Amino acid sequence: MRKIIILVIIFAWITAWAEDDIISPSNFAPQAIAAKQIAPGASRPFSFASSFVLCSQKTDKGTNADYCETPHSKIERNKLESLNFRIDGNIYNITWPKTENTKGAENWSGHSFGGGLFLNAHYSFLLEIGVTPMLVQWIGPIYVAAAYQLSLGHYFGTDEKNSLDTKISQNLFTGTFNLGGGAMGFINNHGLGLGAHGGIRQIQVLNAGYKEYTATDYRTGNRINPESRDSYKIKEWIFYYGLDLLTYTNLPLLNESDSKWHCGFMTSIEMGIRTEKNPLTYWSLSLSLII
Amino acid sequence: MKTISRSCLFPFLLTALALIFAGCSSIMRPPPAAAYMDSYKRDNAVTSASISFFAGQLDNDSTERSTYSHTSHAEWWGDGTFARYINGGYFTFGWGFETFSPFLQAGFVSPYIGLTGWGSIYSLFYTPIAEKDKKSSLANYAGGGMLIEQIPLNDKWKIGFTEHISRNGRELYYVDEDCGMEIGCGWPSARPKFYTEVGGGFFVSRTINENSKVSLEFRYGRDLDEKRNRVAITLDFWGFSGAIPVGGNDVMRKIANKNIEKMKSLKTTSTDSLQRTSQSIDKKNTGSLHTIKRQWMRIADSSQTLSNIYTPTDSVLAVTTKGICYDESANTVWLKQDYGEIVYQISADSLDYCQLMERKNLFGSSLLIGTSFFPAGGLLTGSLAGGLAIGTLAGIGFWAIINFAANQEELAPKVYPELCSEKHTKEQIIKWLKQYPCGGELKE
Repeated sequence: MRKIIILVIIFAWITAWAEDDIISPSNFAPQAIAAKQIAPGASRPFSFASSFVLCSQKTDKGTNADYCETPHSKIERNKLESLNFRIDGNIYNITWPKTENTKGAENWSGHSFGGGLFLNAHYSFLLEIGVTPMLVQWIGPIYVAAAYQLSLGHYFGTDEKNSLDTKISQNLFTGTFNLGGGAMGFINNHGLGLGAHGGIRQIQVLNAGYKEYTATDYRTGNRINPESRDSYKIKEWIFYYGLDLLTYTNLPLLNESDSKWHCGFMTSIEMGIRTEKNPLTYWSLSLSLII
Repeated sequence: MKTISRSCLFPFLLTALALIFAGCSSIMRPPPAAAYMDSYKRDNAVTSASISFFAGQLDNDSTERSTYSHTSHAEWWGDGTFARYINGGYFTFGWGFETFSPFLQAGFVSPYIGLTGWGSIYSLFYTPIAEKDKKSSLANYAGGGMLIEQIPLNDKWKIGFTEHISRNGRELYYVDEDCGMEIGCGWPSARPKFYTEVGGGFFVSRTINENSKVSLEFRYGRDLDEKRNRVAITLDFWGFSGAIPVGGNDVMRKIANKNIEKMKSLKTTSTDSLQRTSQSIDKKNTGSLHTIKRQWMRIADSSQTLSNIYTPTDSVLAVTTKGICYDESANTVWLKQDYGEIVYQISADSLDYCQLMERKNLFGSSLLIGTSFFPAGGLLTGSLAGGLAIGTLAGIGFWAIINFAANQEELAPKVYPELCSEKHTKEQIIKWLKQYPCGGELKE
């Protein structure tokens, strides 16, 4: 447990010092596994995830300044890079149909038309919290999902030396969508699953700006009256796809293996599909435990 | 939970390896079909090695020259593929290398029809973020899909037909001749070109022996971008290696088999089938075993228990139990597993009671939690004192949640060298066990 905490702290602080902040809902594939009940009785996913967003810069030929132009925003900066680390946990869920036998069975393949309504809470470094209601429904081998994240965050800017500065900050309460679906194949004799999912998600990239002193104290010579400059917000839709690798248990051997319940572990990688109109690049890695 | 913690390494490692190998080549052509189809309903993994020869309108006989560089059109005339497939009924998952290109493959498989998709790992993981040119990221993608029909002729021979649509890569090399003394100057760098292909083919496969097969495959492809015709002839050998035990059920089965083996020589039953007829004094009980605070017990031999075995020192084997009853007439004790519902019998002569279980010390974890919240608290409040206060609160909060909200007896036990070091006399052990008499016949 201590090693996990240390790894989380290290990873979180690496991401916390990125210049920009990302706000986007979490991956819905773990919830799809919980709804499928391929590991009977396991319906609460908990995840760690890290995401990053970059922008393909263009150069203004007249001014020679770099800028990032998305379908709804034009940001004049020489670099746009955002990194994010978050922890998600399921606080409440309703899944259907009810799984009568949670001890497992040979050739148990989950519910073909399983579904679920999930309420997840998240904490994103440094100072963002939120809740995400999510709906997932399987239709045979595929599933569809919809999630809407409400988040409240306090985001910091940088000083004139480009270091984190708490005096430059912005608060933001916002909502972002994640819509899509996926499919997964299960190798039941091994307890392995391979899946792909995709869809369209909203990405919000925010920068609280940098500090610029606007006046000088002539008595001391110090620069005073800091103000925020160049803060911006980008909110765009991007198409993305993801690959999922799952390991789970569902054999009727709980007693023989001295286990209390079945569970699953999933690794997912998501990648945004860049188009000519939208130069944002999105990439995310998440690790999820479903218990 | 124990089975998942032991099996979660595979998906994490595979993902990590995929990310590492993604830096290799991204060129890919459709993989052979016959070995993939033969994975149907196999518990063993299918391991395939093939060589392919390409012919037709290959782009490998020209060089474009400019003042300080040249580009060699050097499409390969052949290739080798190594692949592995594991199957779960109608679903097969595979991975491998096409010379320098790692790829993943998966799809539906059955005796007569197959549908598969593949993608080079570079394309899957890096193409969306690698900026090559102004085209969309899918322009540099290598992968595709294939529909396969298979007809078994007899026990040894099968024929099949394939239809595919894919995005292939072909080899193109750029050489910069004006880079002075830079490392690598003058060496060709790969600049693969991608094209969309549709086509089809057929294959013949034969069983060599119980563990190996061979196939010969012919495939035609029409390059839709440059209007070229290509053919590929592939010779594929595959065999069946042992099942790859990487999934959660594999680990669960392995742990269960060890205990099932022990259960052949142990008397066992489940808590549901136990009955007690006599009342114990001041002891909580479930009507079957006496329920006690999780207790350490020293045992003589690892084959006598179905619980997790701890070794505080080399000479001590210790287990924990929350359920116990002593059958005085048989001089045996029934103990309960850590998490499962099985109750097993052990001779009272090979048992000794030890300390009550304590959970692992939370101080270190609480300190880490507090430390992680201290900087965030300091930033939020803008002061060192505020950060310290928030960090301290977070650490105490973590400790309180684990200490009061979690079931202490379900947490990892604290194991230390003095555990079960004290040996009791036979009389002391019997006196201690008599607190927890079994009542009536135990039903198996």
